[in-house]
Amino acid sequence: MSRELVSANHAAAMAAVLAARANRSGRGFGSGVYPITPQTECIELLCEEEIEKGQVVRVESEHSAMAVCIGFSLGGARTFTASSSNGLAYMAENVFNAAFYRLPVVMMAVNRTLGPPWNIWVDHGDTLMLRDAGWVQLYCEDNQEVADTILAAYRLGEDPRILLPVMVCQDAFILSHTMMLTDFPEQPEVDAFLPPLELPHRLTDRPRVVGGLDFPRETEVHRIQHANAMALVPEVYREVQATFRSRFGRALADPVVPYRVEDAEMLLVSMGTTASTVRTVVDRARERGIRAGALRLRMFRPFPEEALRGYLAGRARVGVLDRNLCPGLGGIVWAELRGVAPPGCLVQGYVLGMGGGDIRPEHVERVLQDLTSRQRAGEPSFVEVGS
Amino acid sequence: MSDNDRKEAKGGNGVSAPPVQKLSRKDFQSEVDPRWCPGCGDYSILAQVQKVLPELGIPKEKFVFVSGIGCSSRFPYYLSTYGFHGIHGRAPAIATGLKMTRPELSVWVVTGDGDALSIGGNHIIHTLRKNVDVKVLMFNNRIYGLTKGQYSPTSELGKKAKSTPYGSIDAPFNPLLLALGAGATFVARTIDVEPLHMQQVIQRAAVHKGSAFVEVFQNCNVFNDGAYLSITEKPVKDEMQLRLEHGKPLLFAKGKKGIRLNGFRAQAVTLGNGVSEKDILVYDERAEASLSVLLAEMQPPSHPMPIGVFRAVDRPVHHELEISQRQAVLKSKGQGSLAELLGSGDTWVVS
Repeated sequence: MSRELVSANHAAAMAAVLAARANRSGRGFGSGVYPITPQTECIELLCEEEIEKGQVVRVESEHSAMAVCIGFSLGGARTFTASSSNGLAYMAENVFNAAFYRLPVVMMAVNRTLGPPWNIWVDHGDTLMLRDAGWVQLYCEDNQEVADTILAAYRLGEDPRILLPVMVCQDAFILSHTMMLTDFPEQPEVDAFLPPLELPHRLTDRPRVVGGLDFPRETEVHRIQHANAMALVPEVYREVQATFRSRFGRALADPVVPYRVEDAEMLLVSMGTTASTVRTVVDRARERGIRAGALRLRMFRPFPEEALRGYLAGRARVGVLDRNLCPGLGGIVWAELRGVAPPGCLVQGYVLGMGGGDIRPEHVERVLQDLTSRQRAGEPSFVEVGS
Repeated sequence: MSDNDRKEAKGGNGVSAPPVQKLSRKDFQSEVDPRWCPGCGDYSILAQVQKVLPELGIPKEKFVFVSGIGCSSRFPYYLSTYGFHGIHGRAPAIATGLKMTRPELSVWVVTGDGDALSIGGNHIIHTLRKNVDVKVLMFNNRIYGLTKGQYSPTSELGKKAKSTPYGSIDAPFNPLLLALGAGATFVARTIDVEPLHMQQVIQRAAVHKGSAFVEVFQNCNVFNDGAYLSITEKPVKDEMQLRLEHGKPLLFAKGKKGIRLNGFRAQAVTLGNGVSEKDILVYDERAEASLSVLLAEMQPPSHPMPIGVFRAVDRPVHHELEISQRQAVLKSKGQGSLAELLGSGDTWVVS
């Protein structure tokens, strides 16, 4: 193991390079890359690294970056790319394609506000826009988790029962440009964790066409297969966690990460780095005798319904902190979470930190006060955090 | 399109120029302080555009500058005209829509080598082939500046940049050849450090009816400094720049050298020793595109770098074709009726 002081952008690239090299005894590695703030340092590092049987194509747009990954993957190679914000929006057509082709592409997405007007800071609306794209989506809280999740994403997505692309999401600048001490396994350990990719439908010596015309019944079958694979993700993820621990000697975080939930009457649910601020506020509330707890939603697709139902059972109040806005609905996490809350549980949505506004403890305190004093849930509430 | 807009657009298929008070450079400076890196070539381009616009006799609210993403695309902030900071690579398409609905406006696209030729490559060629009446200023710094120094589609072979630490293996675009290949009716090149030349070229582009494509060699002094030094430095520029002038022989190096045709090739020759001015090719910007292609292919060190107007020809512009086609169809087929259309052809009554 080596310990490095790196940004989450570099952590993602270094993990991807380890995974790439691990496929040298297989069909190698390929990547299509295109810069966009705030992920550019990730693909720059990838361009610099020597990867045996690895190739990087500098493409002309995000749309092509994913297309190149699709091509590499269909050829049997392990693939990786990174993007953000409007880059993901432009890439979207091929994001869906990668999933519908059932290709285990891994993409690191830095969450950044969608423009216009232009804004480079964190907001989860970009990757949440792709929540229906058929990818596994995992959201990270620190640099170590970014590195670990990239490695785990390959093991998960390449599992023959899954064969799905995986998006590893992290918050712009708060993680992407912040350096933290991060542990990386040695190559032989990664080689053992990630056996060579065996994509069953890769192009071989038997000519066939991928992506032809489906009639309704065929599409129905394909979609059901896709849904079934998604349904298996939590189970396979647990296996990946066990293997991860045995190989690397540390834990890979759960799909839903609980904090002081045992006797909690109310829970605050968040995603990404907001969770660390929430934990601070929970600690302060506990000091005041308020039985508050927190959940960090790490896996958004598939939606970890079973785990969430377990954690939400018996709670009186749940506040959901969304760093995104679906105009006409509210926060997306809140909207989805309402469906798994037990009857009688008050679930209130709070939208805060859009456009990268700094979510500070006092903002989360405000959420907690509102949640504590509510008689019933209402319209999603905007907690304005300012600059 | 509202009735008011229609009234405004009436009779103005080109740019309408009602008498207006004389404007100055200052009138086109916005309240926003230009923010590019100190020493960036973009400042010069902004200054020259601000000098040319008041001379066109067009009220400033009749100008629209549409940009995409990149350093160049900050341009609209700094002009007190209408501006539109669009999305990456799509400025030509946005400008097309705008020009179609408001043909009386003078519509400009400000873009860079990345914005226009990477992510927006598709849109730029179709705008040019359709001869949409927009003026495209493409700042070519041969690097991605805003993302801090990755190679661009105009970076030279072997270019070492942050995305190509071992050198680029991809052949660069020649933007002028691309524009000529797309059928652009006005194609020109100028340089950020040649302000008077730039003003002349921008003025010509502004009055051209149809798509105008102007490549501006622009120095990115932070991520690709000196990209054009070999043609802009005082001791070499006479030898390395060839100024294209319609109807005049292609002479450079203070008239001591010129370009002559040798078969299908343009050959740089020194006058004297049997070579006289009458051997030198006389430039015609309205000739077949093949002549412009020949010149656009010229590159140092074997040739000087041509700057100026490579091609300026007339071809019907897109919005006029659209309007006249509509009128012709209406004239031949009449107004038509939906009921008649639904009841026409292979239809039958179910009883």
